Amino acid sequence: MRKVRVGVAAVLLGSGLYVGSCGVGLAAPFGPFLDPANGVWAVARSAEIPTDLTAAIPSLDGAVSVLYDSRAVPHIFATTVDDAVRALGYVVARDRLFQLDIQTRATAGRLSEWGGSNALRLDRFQRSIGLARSAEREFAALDPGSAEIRLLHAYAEGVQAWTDQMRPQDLPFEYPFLGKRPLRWEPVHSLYLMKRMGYTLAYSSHDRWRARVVGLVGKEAADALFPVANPIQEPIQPNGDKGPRFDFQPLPPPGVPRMLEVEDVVAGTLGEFCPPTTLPSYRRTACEMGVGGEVVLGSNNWAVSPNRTANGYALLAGDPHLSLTLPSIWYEAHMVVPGEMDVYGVTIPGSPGIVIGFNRDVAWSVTNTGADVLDYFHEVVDDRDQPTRYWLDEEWRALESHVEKYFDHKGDLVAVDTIRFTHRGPLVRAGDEYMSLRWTVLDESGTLALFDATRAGSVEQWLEAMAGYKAPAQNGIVADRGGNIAIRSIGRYPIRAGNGDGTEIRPGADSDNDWQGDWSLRDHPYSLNPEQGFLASANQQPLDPQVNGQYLGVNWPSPWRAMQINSLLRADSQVTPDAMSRYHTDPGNAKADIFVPAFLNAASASVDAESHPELAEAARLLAEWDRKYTRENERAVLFEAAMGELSRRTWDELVAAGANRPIATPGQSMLAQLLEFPDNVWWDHQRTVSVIETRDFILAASLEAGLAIARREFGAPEDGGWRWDRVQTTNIHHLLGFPALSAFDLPVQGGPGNLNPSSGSGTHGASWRMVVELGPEISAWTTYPGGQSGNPASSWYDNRIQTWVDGRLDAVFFPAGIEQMDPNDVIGSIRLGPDGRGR
Amino acid sequence: MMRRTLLQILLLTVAFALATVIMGWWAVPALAVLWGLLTRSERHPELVAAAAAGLGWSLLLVWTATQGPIGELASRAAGVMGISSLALVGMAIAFSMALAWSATVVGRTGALGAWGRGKGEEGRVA
Repeated sequence: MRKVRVGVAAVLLGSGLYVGSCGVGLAAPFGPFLDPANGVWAVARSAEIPTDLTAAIPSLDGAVSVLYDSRAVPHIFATTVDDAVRALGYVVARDRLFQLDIQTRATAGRLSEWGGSNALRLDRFQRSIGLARSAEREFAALDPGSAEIRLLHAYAEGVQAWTDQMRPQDLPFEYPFLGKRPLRWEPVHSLYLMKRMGYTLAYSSHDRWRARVVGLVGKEAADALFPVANPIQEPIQPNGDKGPRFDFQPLPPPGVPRMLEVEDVVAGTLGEFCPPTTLPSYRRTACEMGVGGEVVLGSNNWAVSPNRTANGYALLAGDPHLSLTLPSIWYEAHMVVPGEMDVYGVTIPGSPGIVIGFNRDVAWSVTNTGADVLDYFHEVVDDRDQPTRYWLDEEWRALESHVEKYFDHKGDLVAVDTIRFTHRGPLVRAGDEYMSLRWTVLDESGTLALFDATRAGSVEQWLEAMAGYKAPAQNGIVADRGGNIAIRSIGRYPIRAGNGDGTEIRPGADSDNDWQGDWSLRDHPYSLNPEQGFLASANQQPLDPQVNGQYLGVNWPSPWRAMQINSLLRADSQVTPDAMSRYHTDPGNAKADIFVPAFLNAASASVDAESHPELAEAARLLAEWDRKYTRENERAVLFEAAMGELSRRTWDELVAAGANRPIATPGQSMLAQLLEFPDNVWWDHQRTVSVIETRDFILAASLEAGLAIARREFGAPEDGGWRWDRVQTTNIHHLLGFPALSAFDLPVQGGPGNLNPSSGSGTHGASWRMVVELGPEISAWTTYPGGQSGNPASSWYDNRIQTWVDGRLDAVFFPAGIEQMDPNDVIGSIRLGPDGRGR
Repeated sequence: MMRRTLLQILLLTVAFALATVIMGWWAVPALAVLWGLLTRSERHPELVAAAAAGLGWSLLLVWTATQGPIGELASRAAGVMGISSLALVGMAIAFSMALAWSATVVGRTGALGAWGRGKGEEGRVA
């Protein structure tokens, strides 16, 4: 008996020590995790804002005070700009260390060191496109005495000061689960972030699927379906029109499918380069969005001149839409250096300054330009499996190569890749062929421009500072206290050889095909104080091709959001901050205004109610809708189902033989264009050989099918299952996808094509909302879906979500000096000094 | 006898708690082995150790609860693991108790092996 007990004890102790120190599988070691003094429990001790912390950042020039207001926003009061940046790094690291770490690892292709083989494919993809390498090269090329390198170092010093002084309870929640420690933050990691944003916003591989469309329906049809000029023109740079212009042309018939050529095969295989995602927060990337179809995501910004506002001051709204995560991508902060800087807004953890926000004179925001800044070149190499050279200008050139090693969570080597580069960029393999990637994101970012612009005193100064910004390209909108408003598409836009077109994969053997330079700044889409009295961007085509026909991009999103915001701004000559706030979640939808009448007309023209009772019922139900995507409406679901059917039935020619879905789907503005041509051959369903379908037939059939789908999925219309907030909800995933740390099924107002577009998967949305009134005193209102803290136990982890869901904004506290901080509104403070003694 | 046992549990509870704060979770098996070595002539020292370890870690959890929102944390952490908050707390306490019990038995057995059974030990250890 004794032996048995000793045996049991030995086994139990051995097992306990093993799982305690090693864990099981990917699970963290149990011991340090469950340890009540130092493990996951300890995180509770650092959940709240410190009431009076004193700490050291050894490199500080002087003392820095950080006061947290009642919204947990840190107000940083420093005496030098470098110190303010150091303090920003410190407070961001305190609240968002895990976020800093994971986004750096994701860019570096080092997630498998946490997630093992599950993340290996993603890591290999990330390294294959050279994001981290380009950041390292950019950093190495910086002048050691430059302002930019000082900035990057100052930020890193702040982050490192926090991590160096961390107590066990300061280790973010996720690390005990992973059984890992944070990566040491280096100055170059801020550039990793810029590359990461470039990948999120500007990685579009339209060249590849467009080549396949050409193979399927011919170049003429492909050019018409995925045009360089959107048929609905509501450009960012006002074109003088009083409303959208509809340049509708009949679509040419599809050509005969041809045998696939090399470019088609290459392009097809390139599908592999849409990154395999393991993290839900990254699951809808720009790459996925690039496969045609309607981009239901989208950012907005708009500004109104004083002569169209109720108070006579310029107004500006920022509404960037991104993948929604917990913690949020944004972190709100205020940086004050008397006489040098007084800027409030949001930073992205890792960025050494405010990205979107305002100062005492100027407010600004950005939307993604979506320009074509990435090209593939088909390369000829000397060896199919182990190429060392590529053919250029009648001679072999050496490929630059380096070896990438991947390690798993145990530190074991799990894969080795050789990444090769031509003079253009990384070489990617597609079947037996190779292509090189030329991409602005892999060149200089222009981080300093972002920082300098935060200190601008006028619209003019802001635009001047932003002239140095490179990538990812953005539509920057700006307003100042002098009543000026302006917008410019900032960043680099390449000039291509020949006709300048960037829609096709070019041969790489001839350097004449290389990019020829960049657009001159004077050619960028731009407007200052337009006669119409407002400006807006919503990712639509920036330039009316009738004004400037230079190639900037292709397959632009349908301008539904631009039409809606412009319509609201045209209709209101007394805009108030409240109205600006309401516009963020305005339920109106320009797409519905076009398609609902088309469905109803087709239904009434096609059939009588007795022979098609279901169609008549669908038309009756749709006619009840006011075309607004309110949370309580019960008809948008029918409309969206019908729109889905309309797209599927119309573009059946784009489904390759043997496939079950189209290789690419034209945007909804192409469908709107097609509505004008009821007998166009694209309406005809190719499978019904003996019947020629026309517009109204397809519209009516889609509406009828939409009703069947809505009933099947959501029940009878009178049963309440069609309420929009039960159908279309937003889901905000934690960065590691843990459901317990995420927020699901949030009932937001908006839908596809709305200013609050609410994507199908519900994982994207308004990541930051801001309204600024530029009066004698700046007034501002903001929110974002999350909270300031990355600690899930903190009351500041997700406290803003309800405000965001309701479409409300919080008034911002914007003190000019530390003496304006009301002690009753201060919930915590950190005093920083070089020796740990703050002022 | 009962008073002595209670005193042992009390002292050991404090020892486990302090040692865990200083050394981390390894303190539990280390201290328990030591306890086993020192108490080879005691009656059921492994039960005393298990009780003390469980109490020591409970004490630390209670102390943490006074410092921050441990309920919210337990709820989030347990949610990640797909268990209830109570189960997570139970898991932590059970882990410490299992380590303490087994390490004491092993430590005591080692002691007995090294020094032989002490006077009066025979027949006491089942």
